[in-house]
Amino acid sequence: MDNQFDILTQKLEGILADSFWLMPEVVLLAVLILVLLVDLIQPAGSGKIKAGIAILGVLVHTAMLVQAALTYTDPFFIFSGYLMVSSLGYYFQILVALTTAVALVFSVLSGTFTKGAEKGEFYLIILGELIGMQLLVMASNLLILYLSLECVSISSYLLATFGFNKKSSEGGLKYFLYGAFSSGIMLYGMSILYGITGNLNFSDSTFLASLGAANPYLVFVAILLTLSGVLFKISTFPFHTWTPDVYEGSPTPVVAFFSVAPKAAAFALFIRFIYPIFGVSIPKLDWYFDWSLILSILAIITLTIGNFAALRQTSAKRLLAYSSIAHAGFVLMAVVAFSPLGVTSVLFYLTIYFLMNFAAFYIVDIIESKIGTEEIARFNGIGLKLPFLGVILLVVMIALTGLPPTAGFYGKLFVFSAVWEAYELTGKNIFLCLFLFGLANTVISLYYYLKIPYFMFFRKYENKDFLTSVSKAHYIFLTLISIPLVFLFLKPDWLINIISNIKL
Amino acid sequence: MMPYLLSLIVFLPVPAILLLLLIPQAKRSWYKYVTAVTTFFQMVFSVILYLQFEGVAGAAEGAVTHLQLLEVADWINLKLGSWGNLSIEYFLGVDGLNIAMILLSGIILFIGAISSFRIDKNHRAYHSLYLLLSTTIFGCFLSLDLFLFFIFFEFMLLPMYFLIGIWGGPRREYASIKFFIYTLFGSVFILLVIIGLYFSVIDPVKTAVNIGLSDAQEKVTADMVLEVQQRLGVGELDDVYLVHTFNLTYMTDVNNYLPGSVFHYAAGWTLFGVDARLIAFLALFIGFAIKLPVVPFHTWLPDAHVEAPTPVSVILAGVLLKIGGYGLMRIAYPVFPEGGVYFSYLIGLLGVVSIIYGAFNALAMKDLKKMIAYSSVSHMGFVLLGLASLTVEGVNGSIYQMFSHGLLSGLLFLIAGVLYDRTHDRIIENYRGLASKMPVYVTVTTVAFFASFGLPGFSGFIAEMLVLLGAFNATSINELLPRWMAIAATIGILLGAVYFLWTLQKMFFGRFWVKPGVEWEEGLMDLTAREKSMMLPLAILAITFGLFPSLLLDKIAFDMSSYVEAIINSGKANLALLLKNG
Repeated sequence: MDNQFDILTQKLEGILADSFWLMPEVVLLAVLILVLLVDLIQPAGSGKIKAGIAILGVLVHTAMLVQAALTYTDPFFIFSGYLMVSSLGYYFQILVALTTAVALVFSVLSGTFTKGAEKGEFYLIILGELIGMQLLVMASNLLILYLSLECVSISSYLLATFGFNKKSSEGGLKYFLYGAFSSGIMLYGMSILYGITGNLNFSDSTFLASLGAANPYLVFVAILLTLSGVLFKISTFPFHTWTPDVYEGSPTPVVAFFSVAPKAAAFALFIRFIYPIFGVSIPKLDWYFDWSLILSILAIITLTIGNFAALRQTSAKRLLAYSSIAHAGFVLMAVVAFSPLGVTSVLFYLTIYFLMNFAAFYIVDIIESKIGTEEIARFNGIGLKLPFLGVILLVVMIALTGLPPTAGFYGKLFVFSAVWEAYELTGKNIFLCLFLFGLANTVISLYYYLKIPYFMFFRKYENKDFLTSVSKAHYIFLTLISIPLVFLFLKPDWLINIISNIKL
Repeated sequence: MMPYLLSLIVFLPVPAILLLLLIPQAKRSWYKYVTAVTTFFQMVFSVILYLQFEGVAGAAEGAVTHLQLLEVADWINLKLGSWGNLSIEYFLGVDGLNIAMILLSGIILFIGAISSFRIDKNHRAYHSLYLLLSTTIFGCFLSLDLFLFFIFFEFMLLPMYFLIGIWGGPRREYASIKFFIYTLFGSVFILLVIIGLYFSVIDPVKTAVNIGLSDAQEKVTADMVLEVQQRLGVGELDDVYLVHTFNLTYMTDVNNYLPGSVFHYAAGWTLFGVDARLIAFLALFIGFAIKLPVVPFHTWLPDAHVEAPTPVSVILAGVLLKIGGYGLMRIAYPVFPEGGVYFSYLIGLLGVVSIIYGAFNALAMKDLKKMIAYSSVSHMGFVLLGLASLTVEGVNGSIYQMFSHGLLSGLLFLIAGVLYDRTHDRIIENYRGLASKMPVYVTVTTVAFFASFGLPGFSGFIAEMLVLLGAFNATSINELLPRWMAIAATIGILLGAVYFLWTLQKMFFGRFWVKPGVEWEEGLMDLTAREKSMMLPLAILAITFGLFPSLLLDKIAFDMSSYVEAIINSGKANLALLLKNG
């Protein structure tokens, strides 16, 4: 009896001691409750207060993460192997937290999202999703992984409907149906993995060892099924079809958030969870176990579909939706390289992508709130009327294409370098193919990225007198997120040297 | 000698752009003076640079060219963990390859700035973009770090896109996007090679510091470099210490290539049975051939020229096309010399095809500006032919042709612009006998036309003669080109005489007549003082460089002979190795 009591005490003490590592998330939870209370006391007219609390909370959370990331660099497990703390994870966590903070600021400033930003639920859900994403990044156990993934997904479905109109509800429903389907498949794959290994802890060495010993076909099917859930989150072919509808229907700040944060978390999952499993099946020689081949083909198709579909879009948000599919293809290219340089380029690319995508959506949002539509053809002459806005948009579009003088150029350069390195190391022609397709797609993408500045600068200005006033707050926000795009072009070592110090 | 003269030339427009942003809209007539003064100083500095440049510099054994006035600084240093380090330098310098281009750009950009006085909308944006273009052009010609070069090369597209797209003619939107996509398509080929190169090439000096041979870059001796190269060659160096580089001078030395890397001459990487180094040469060739442009990559040029406003046409033909030829000379040939040797027949052939096809097209054009655009294609063919011959005469002739064509095509587009300003019509058959109305204009035009088809006494003659000499002699000197190519190219000169003289006779001589039913007659006045100030200096320069070729050749010939020798020697040596491996 005493003995059992001792074990229990020890475990409890262990849990209490490990809770220290979750302090940043605990802060988020506290903020969530605080927002809930404010919402209870004053449901109407307190949007700014709730947003302020939420933003402040996320910033404190981020600061704690930065503090922890600077102090602890070696990876270790907490809660008896359920969660893992690592500097790679911290990088993703900080990125996701910053994205959320910026998305919250965006939703407060947005001119099209006035109704949603008043509601307390919005902040609750977005904070909830943030907690989910942070746990997802840290997860090293299938159970936690699935729970946090669902936490992220369900919050996303809800956020998608915050436009409170038909399109928004339609987008939300589509998102939900696709999402439920793919997480079902993923759960199925996970259950097979559990069946094979008898272990839920995927960072455990026995987990990988028993996978290697099992029937390779079964392992292949299990990985494929598990992968589908991840591919859905990063909207890769063939799980990309939800993206345009959801992006078009959802409120713009939410779309900007969707296009970055859950994707970053899913890429973290890719590197943490899927990478080691691939390592088990790569030595087998059959083509269908060659994950670099399968993923390369997926990346090529994703890139091409995203780009070609974007060429035909007339709505700015749909265009950016397809562009985000193409960008997922680019990040996947770096993932496929399966190397430290590949991971470095994933981190760099996602960081730059966060900045440029938010800037792009923000400008579309400003214009939409002024002229009431996001049809690109109606943007005519805005660049000449509001040169500052036009120039920033141009910089952002150039960054999305991946041309100098923006950090987007390095994003592409590192991705291509990672693929090139993989080609040099393995000599597989698929990498060269991937490389060439990536380059060709960069050229194609220029055409549609330039479409928006083209209408803004080349087409004659119509009578749009109401355009004269864009508030200072918008300009400050835009400047703040686009300055790094140019600054990191001049001094990319500043960021890349931080990233390459990260231990994988 | 002025320190930082090169940086000064490159970045002079940047403070000028800031100045433009400060001058309020109400004073918009000032903008053009800011541009003019800035480009004037750029021109003055490039003339100073030209005068300071020493034609015969101390001979360093084995060097491709003799670089002067070097400016080197570390720009970006990336530590990429186990993969090694990446070093990008801010590295400028001049040698025989680019000194003529700098002088040319200085002159043409200033003339273009004066021509820009007639721009009548969005003044601030136009002049900012123009100055930005100026920075990127000089940067492109002066950078010796491949990365820096590429940045300037790419960045050039953006101002050009807007300059054509906003201030251009009726089909400007189509022309500008076509120009952008074509050039970007070419530059991804260049990017592909650049990525491959930095994986393959290391900086022996910085690597020497990294492995502890020396404690500072300045103290690294030639022996240490040799030791690093020798240890690299046998694979003794750990990846962590390697410093990958974009520095072009290191790329020309085969000893700096990492064994086993894609572009190492003995690594034996092939694609479709062709060695990776030859593929890389071809990729670079396509990238720069689009810019030059070479038939069949030329179709963007007539569109861009016809739609671009006059000053932009002047810059496009006068300077931007030369970046294609210069890129081949600066990057493709020195880094992959065996490609130049191996593909000399193909390149020579494309040169001849461009000369003749361009000339025939020019013959058929009804629009004066289109005719001039196609004559550019034809003239750029000579650049390619001279380069393909890899003889001292041929390569000297290529540079001379670029310089001469820069002056002359600038003049020709100004001529087309003068007519367009007055009547908004450039169709050749709508005019006859302009000489009686506009005598000075027609005199300048006659000089420009005669100079363009290579009449002795004008710069075009010297250039084309050198190229033909080189191409003809190549058969006996290095057996790279067959004799018929030189002979075929002379047909191009003949055709040039035909279309220029024909146009001259149709448009300018005979009784005065214009298309019936238009009110052009009063408008057709002779050149204004501003127009004269742009056109006369160009005409005079064309004559000066035609009568005194040594003005330019004295500066470049020394470097060109070591250049040709280095390319031929290392090209043949590398090729023998490649073929042995393959």
